Amino acid sequence: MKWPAIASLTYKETIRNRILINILLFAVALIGLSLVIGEWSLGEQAKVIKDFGLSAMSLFGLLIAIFIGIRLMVQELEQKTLYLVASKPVRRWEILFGKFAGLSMTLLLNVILMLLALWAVDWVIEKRIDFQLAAAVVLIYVEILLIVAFALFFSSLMSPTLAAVATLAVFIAGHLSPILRDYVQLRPGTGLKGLYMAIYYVIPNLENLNLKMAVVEHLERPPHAVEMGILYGVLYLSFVLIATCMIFEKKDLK
Amino acid sequence: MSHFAIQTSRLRKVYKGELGQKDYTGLEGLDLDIPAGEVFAFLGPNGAGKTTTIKLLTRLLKPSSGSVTINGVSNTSHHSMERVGYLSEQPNIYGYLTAREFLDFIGKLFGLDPGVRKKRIDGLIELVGLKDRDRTLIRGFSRGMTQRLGMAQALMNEPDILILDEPLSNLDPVGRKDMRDIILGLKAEKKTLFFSSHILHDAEIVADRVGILDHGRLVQTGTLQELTGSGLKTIEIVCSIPQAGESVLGLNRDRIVRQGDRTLTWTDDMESAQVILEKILRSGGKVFSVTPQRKSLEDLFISRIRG
Amino acid sequence: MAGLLRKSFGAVLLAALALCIYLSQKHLDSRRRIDFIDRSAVFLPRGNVLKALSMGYRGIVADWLWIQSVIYFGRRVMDEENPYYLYALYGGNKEKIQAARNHHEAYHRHGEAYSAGLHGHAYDREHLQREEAFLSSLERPDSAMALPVPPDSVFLLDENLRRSLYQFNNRGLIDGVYPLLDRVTTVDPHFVHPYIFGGVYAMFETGRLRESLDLLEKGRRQNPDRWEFPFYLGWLYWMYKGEMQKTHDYLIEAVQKKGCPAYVTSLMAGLSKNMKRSDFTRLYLEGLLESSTDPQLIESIQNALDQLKAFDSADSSSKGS
Repeated sequence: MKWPAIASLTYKETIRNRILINILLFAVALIGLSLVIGEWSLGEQAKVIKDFGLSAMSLFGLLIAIFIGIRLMVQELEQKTLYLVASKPVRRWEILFGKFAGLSMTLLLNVILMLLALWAVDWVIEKRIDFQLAAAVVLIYVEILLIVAFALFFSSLMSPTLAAVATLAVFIAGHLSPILRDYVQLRPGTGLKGLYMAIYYVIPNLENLNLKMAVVEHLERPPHAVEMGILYGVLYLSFVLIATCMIFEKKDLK
Repeated sequence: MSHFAIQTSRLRKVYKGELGQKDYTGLEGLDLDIPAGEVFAFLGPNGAGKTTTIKLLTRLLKPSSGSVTINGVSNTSHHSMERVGYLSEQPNIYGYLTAREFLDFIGKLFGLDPGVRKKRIDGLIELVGLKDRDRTLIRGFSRGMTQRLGMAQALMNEPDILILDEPLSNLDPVGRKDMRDIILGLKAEKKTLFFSSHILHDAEIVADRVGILDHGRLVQTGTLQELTGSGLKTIEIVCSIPQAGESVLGLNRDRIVRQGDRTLTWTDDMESAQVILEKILRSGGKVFSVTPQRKSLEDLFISRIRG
Repeated sequence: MAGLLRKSFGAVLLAALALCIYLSQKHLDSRRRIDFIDRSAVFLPRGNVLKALSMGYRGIVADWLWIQSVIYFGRRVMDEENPYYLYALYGGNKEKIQAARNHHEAYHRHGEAYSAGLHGHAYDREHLQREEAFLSSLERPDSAMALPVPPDSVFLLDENLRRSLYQFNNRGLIDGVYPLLDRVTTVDPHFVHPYIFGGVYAMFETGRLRESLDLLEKGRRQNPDRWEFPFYLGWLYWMYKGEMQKTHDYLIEAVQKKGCPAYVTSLMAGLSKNMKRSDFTRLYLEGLLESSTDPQLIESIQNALDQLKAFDSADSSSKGS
C-alpha cells in the first residue's frame, strides 16, 4: 500500500498552501462576525451565531473543494510533476486515493479548528458548550468530502474551469433535490413522477447531510439521523471516488 | 527470464484527434530489443516520437497496440517499474518540498525502509552535488539543480535500468559534464541505459547502440561503427600557398576557401591528400594542419532524415 | 484478461454502491420529520439589515425570502391539503380525517383528470399517514406561546373547532408570515406580489387587519405608480371596516394610475353614484385634468370621467323613461 505516502505528501502540500489558510481565516472571521450580527436579531443571538458558524463551515468546505480539490490533480498534470510519481511502482488508483486522503486530513484539522472557534464564540453568549453542534459538524465534514470527491471526478474529465462550474452545480442541485421529491409527493398525479424520482435519487441529496437547522433549534430528529447521513455520504463518495479511479487508471499523462 | 532489459513489440500510439481533427499517430509499430547492460541512445528530431516512446515504456501512456516488457515483465503491471529509474525531460518537482523530503517520498514509493532511505539519500545528495541545498525548498532551485535532483530520484531504488529523456539538454557546461560523468559511471556499473537526445555528440561519446526515430518510425538502428562505417569523410588541409599556385596544385576550384593568407582545401582520401601535400611543399607553401574528418552521426542523421 | 476482470469488478462494485445509495436514501426519506415548529423565519434580522447584507443580490434574497414566506404560510394555511388542519379540525378523529381526505382527493383527482386527461394515478398516502402519526405524538402546546384567536375569522362557529384551531394556531404562528413579508418588501420594495399576498390572501387566513393595512400602505408609499395598492386598500376598508368614504377616496386614487383595469373605474363610478358623490367626484377629477400634463394621467382621468358620465346618463335615461 503506497497511498499513505502520497496522502502524507498531499497533507504537507495542502497545509503549506496559502489559499487554504486564507479561506480558513475567512471562515473564522465570519464566525467572529456572527457575534456582531447576532446583536441585530430580535433575541435568539445564540441561534444566529450557530447558524452563521455552521454556514461558514459549509461555505468554507465548498470553496476549498473548488479551489484546492480541483487544483490537486490539475496542477500535477499541468506542471507535469506527476510524471515522476506515476512512473514509479505505484498503482494509479493509489495516487488518486492518496491525494484524496491527504486533503481529507487537512480538512479534518480545519473543521476541528472551526468547531473550536464556534464553541468559543458560542460560549461568550451562552456560557456553555453546545455539544450537539458536533453532530452537525460531522455531517458538514462528510458533505465537504463528497464535494471534494466530485471536484476530483470532474477535474479528471474536463478543464479546470468547467470542473469548477460542474462541482458548484452539483452542490446547488444537491441542496435543491429534495424539492423534486416533495413536489412528487404533493402532486401525485404528475405524469413525470418516475423521471423526477429517478433524477432525485441520482443527484446526491445534500440535505441528508444537513442538520444545521435541526441542531441549532433543538428540533426533534429522526433516529440515527447522523449515522444514516454519514452512511449515505460515505457510500456516495465511495462511488464517485471509484469512478474517478477508473477514469484515472486509463488516463494518458501527455 | 528474458535477457532483454527492455523489449517492445509492435508498439503503437495513436493520439485521438480533437473535435473534427484527424487522429495523429505518434509512434508506428516500434520493435526494440535492448539487452541488459547496453547503453542505447534514441535519437531523432523534435516531434519524432522519442518522448512518446519513453512515456510508453514508463507507463505514463497506454499503448494503442503492441506491448512493452521490462526485464521480462509486461509493463501493464506497476511492478515492472521496480528496477527502473526514470528521469523526464525538463523535470518539474514539487516546489513546496525540500530535496531530502522529496527523495524520502520517492523512497517510500519504492517501499524502502526508513534506514535504507536515509542512507541512500545521503549518498545521492552527495553524488549529484546538492549537498548545501538539500534542506531548502525546491521552489528556489535553478533548472540545473532540478535536473540533478531528478537524476537523484531516478537512482533512488538503485535501478538496473535507467530511462532518461534528454538528460543532458538544458544544462550549462558544468552541469552537462557532471551529468555525463554520472552516466559514464552508470555505464561502468553495467547498468542498462536508455536515453533520448537530440544532441548527437553526447550519443557518440556514451552509447553502444543508436536508434534513429523519425515521424514515429524507427528508421535505423545499429552500433556507431555500423552506422557511420570506417567513416572517413574528408581530409582537411589548411595551408598557405601563393595565389598562382592553385592551378599548380590542381585543386578543384570549389574546394578552396581562402581566409587572409590561409587556404583551406579538402580531399576524399589519404592518397590524394598525400599528393596535394607534396605539391604544396614543393611549391614553397606551408602546411598548417591536416585534419581527417570522420563521418559523424550528424551527417548520418541529416542524410537519413532528409533522405 | 486481467484487465477485463478488473473492469467487470469495478462495474459490479459501482452497481452495488449505487444500490446501497438508493436504499439508504429511501430509508432516510421514510424517517423524515416535517419541521413544523420552525419559528426561525421570524427571527431573521430586521429588513434593513437584510437589505444591507444582500449587497448586490437583493433580488435573489428577496425571492428567497418570498419563497420562505410562502412555505411558511402554506404549512400553516388551513385547508384540506394541510394535514395539520385536518387533524385540528376533526379533533384527531381518524375516520373523519380519512373521509375528508378521500373526498378532497377524489375532487382533486377528478379536477386533474379533467384538465389533463389522465386517469388513476396512485396517490401516495404514506407521506400523509406519517405526518399524521407524527402529529398524534405531539405533546401539549406550550401555553406561554398562546395567541388569541383572531376575532375576524368568520368560520369560527364550532367551539371544538375553535379550540382545535387555538391549539393549531398556537403551533402554527401563521401570523408570523407578516414579519416575513415585511422583510421581503424591505429588501425589494418593488416586488409587488408579497404586499398583495399579505394584504389580501393572508388576511383571509389570519384576520390580521392592522398588519394587512400597514403592508399595503407600505407598498403604496414605495410604488406610487401602481393601481393595485390603493385598490386593495379600498377593498380592505370596505370589506372589513365598512368605511365607504375611505374606500371611495382610495378608488379615485386607483383610477388615476396607469394600467388600472376598466372594472375598477366602473366600481369607482358606481360607488360615486351610490354615495351620491358623483358631482364631487366629477369636479375633483376635472380639476385634476386641467392641472396635469402627463398624457397617461390625462387619459386615465378622461376614462374615469367618461365612466361617471355613463353611469349618470344610464341613471337619467332610466329615470327619464
